[in-house]
Amino acid sequence: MRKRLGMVSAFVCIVLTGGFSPAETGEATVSSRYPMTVQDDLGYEIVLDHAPQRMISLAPSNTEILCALGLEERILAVSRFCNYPPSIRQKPTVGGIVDFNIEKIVSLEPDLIVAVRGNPRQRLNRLQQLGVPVYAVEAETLEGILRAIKRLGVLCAVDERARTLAVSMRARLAAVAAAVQGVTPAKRVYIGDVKTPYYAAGPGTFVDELIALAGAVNIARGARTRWPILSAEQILVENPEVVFLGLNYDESTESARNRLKIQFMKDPIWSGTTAGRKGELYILDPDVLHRPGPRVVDAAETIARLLYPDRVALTEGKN
Amino acid sequence: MKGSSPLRSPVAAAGLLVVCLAALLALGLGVGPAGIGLGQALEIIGEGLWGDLDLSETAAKVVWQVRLPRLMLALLVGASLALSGVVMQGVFRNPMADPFLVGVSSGAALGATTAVFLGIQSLSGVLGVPVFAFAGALAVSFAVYVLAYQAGRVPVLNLLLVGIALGALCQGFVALLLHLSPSTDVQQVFFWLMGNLAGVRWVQVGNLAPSLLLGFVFLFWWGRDLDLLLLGEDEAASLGVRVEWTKAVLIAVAALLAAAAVSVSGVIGFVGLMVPHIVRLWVGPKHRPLMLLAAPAGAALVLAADLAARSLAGSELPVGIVTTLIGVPFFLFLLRRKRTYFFS
Repeated sequence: MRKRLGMVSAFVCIVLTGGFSPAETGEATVSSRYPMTVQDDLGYEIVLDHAPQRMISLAPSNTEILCALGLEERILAVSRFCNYPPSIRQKPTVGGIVDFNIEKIVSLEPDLIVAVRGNPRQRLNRLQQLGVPVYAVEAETLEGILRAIKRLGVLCAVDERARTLAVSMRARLAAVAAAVQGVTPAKRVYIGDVKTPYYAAGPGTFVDELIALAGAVNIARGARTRWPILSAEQILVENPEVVFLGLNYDESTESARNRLKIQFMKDPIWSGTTAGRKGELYILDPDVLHRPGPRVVDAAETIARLLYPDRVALTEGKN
Repeated sequence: MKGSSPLRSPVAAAGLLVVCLAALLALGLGVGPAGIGLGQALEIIGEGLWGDLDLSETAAKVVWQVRLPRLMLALLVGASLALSGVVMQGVFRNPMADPFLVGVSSGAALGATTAVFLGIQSLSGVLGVPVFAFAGALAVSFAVYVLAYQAGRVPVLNLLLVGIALGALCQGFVALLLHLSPSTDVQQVFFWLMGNLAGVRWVQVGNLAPSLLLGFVFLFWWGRDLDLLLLGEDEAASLGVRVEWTKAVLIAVAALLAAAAVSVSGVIGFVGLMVPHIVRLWVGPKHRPLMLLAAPAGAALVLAADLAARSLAGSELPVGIVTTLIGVPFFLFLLRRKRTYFFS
């Protein structure tokens, strides 16, 4: 059901971007663009009278995109999970992804809510009814992230900046792909949880794309769902050479990281894999890895560098 | 027709169950994504028992560290839940009773959620969630018993009502903790609440086996008192049963059994409710044969459900979903076919 909805909205996205090009190519001048009628990634239509100045972001990925477009000052409030860039924490919060407070949002008098698919539709509809335009983003692939950035740029009349960002992201992704081109054999990689249930990043996620881009093979590529739960047996058979943990573990200290690695190497299942025998467990920042925003490029560089340190120089990533 | 068919005898039922269990074990050993068949699996088991087996080999790992402990735990969990269900239904003289009635599942759920919320969990999954779940199950069961106590007695109706009330309270706290925690925790708790045998370690098998064995022997010993309790508490008392004491002991042991099972497997629904009914429809209400047959029947049901859970969906499915989806229709089918029923 969800999958089908996803496919439908992906189709809508494709149709939309086709019909959206005049604004994107800058044919219309910024001032004559408004009032602008836009359909969001979920197919809901809104009308904007002017470039939004008082926005509320309901997801960390949206916040990161808007800030990367230089729009931090135009953000009024964010969700309680928005923590990047660090300065954003000074903004008021309106609740979580699911439990945002409608009354608080309305009382702040925003002129645009930037939502994601994960926000409950019913609540977003309520906001629409109360006269607040809602624009929902759905970005599940790398292309989708770039598209979301460009479309938000058009919406907020910062097209040029959005295009520059998208171009530089694309260039950095291409650089990663070029650096690892032709590695043989490609390493077998698992990105997910190291304890049961073994939730893994499966096909159709941008994490899966990042693995491929970094010149590796995702051992969960054959799964039928986007976030499958692998069986212990599958993990043993697929025998990953490198394991990336992209979840909130207590990895704050070096000793906690080491403890986790020792546990990992002694684990009856993981010790049966090449990654477990060699201790090839790396902890990624889940915020960087899982948020469909500008920092996925950092994640791509980090993954590639950890997989093939000889090929991907340390200078390439920011961190 | 009633009771006359040779198929209805406990011996025939036991024979059938043994065949079922053997077939399920063979399937469980010989099927899986690693493509190791039954023959090879048995060979590896033989080598592990009598020969020198290189445990670092993938095939050996698959058989010894993945398939075998999982099969064993499915058997133990199923038997524990079914046995606990038999006793609970007997003590409560109520067809709706199951091991979870006195707060075992809700307490375990609250314990497990607390462990996840506080981030107390080790990679092996042996400490943390199971310990908290076990403690939660026992604490809430005990609270239910104490709160149901009234003027020297613990009326069955009180137990039922207090159990329902405290269960709801625990659910409220579980929902609150989930609400306060980040989204990745929610998925994990959901997975646990649906029951799962995916991360089984031998340690857990070792922990559960003695509790089942002791519990079974103990409950079997008290089987006759359970039969007498079925006549009614006053009648049982007049026949020399120390009613309140017997009830307390039986509920405590049954709750312990269920708590031990739930703490390692998560909440596997309907096994403790249905298996006793199914077996009772088959061999009648006497508790000793009932216990002897319910334990392997529960084991077979959970084993079958887990086989389906790990092979049908292409992704690990929580086993509790399967026990419910296949168990309930089967139970309804049996119930509709039977005109008179012992409890009604």
